[in-house]
Amino acid sequence: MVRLKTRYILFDILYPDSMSPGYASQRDAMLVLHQPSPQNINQKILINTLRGIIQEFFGDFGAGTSGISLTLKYFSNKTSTGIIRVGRSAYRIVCAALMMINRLHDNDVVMRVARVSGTIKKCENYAIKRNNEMTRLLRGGEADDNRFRDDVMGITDDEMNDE
Amino acid sequence: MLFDLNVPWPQTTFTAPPTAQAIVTLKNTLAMLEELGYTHVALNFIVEQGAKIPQNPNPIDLSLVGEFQTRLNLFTRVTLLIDDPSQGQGVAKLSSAFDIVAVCPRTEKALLLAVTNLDIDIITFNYAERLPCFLRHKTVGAAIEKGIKFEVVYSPAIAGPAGYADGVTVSTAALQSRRQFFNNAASIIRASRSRGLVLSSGAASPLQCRGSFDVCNLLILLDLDHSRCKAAMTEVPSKVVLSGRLRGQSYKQTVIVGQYESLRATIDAPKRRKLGDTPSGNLMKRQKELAKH
Repeated sequence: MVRLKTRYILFDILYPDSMSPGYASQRDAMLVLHQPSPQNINQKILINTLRGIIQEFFGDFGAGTSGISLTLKYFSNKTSTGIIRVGRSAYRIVCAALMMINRLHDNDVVMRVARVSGTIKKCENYAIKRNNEMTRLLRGGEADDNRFRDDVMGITDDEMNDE
Repeated sequence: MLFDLNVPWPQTTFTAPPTAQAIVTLKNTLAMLEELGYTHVALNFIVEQGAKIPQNPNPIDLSLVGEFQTRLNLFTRVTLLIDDPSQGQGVAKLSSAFDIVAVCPRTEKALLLAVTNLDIDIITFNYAERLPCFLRHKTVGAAIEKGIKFEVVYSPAIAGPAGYADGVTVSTAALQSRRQFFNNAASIIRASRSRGLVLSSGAASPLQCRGSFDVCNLLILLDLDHSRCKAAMTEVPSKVVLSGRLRGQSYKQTVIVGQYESLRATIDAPKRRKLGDTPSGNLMKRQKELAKH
């Protein structure tokens, strides 16, 4: 009997505003985009929205197959970051559905997948690393050139090491 | 190094300059792209066929987005909409003033003209509507052989309030444009055999920008393979920018005298391929590292 294999999707919510003049520097832009989420965006809303989108884009088949173990493991309003667990065979469908979200409770949002991993530990570590990097940038540090280079495909080596 | 070669410049004719509000939206879009990790962005000016081309055909004023000069590598691009092949001469007049020249054919004849006769970098389509004709591998392959790339614009897929406030229904136009996007993207991937594709946003507002992982993931669902997807946002567009530069500055894209530094500065492509660039090389690299420990 083969164990059910899963993927953990680390995502964050960005709040773009096309009217405000918050673009003067990279720092200002980051402060606008990485706002804390309002209180009315909670785990329940997020997962319901996601299920709705999967139903809309992939129909009954997509909703059924991806629903096997679709759960929101973690969401923090302060950092607008969360982790979703999903069965391995359906993670691309779930990522695509996340990408299609652009409104949550009257807020214009863009959802970004930051990392897909086979273990939740790796997602957590990556989230911590990314937050450190971001605080460093906000304090006026120089951008690290390699910051996004590894992220072009998001899927990394630890996927192969998944036992 | 991550490219987005299609951010519309908010201006539709040569004469009317963009409004202040449009520039603010554009700047926010650029800030969003920067946050998503893009490093090279082209501002796209769209010209209707038959428009009278003035003395200075480039209306894109990069000083209006001066904040981004040091944060992003900005290029200018022109997209000429062509219906009637007899009027393709516009391209020659425009090509010297822009970094990248693209064409959007709207009939089958125009597509054939673009493939065979025009000196351009990119062929693009309106992905929210039906393609002008069924794309045959022979036509598309001939263009790719010549070095012309095909562009897939993903913003029609996320157009409309893909909706999630309670009870909001998506307009039929938005539904139609999404369905059409998937259809068109799948046919261009099939006709090009996944080669010579460029992925770009076409984002008119920051809401339509997406991260590279998300875009790749969507195209992988449409049967584009993994490594080609990555190349479509990095290597292939860098070749487009380079060939655009060479058009003005070199003899037949091969010989160039002086100016090497300025050319080199526009594009920081790595000179040599690294071991980790291919999956098998990556595996070898990891084996080596394991052997070390």
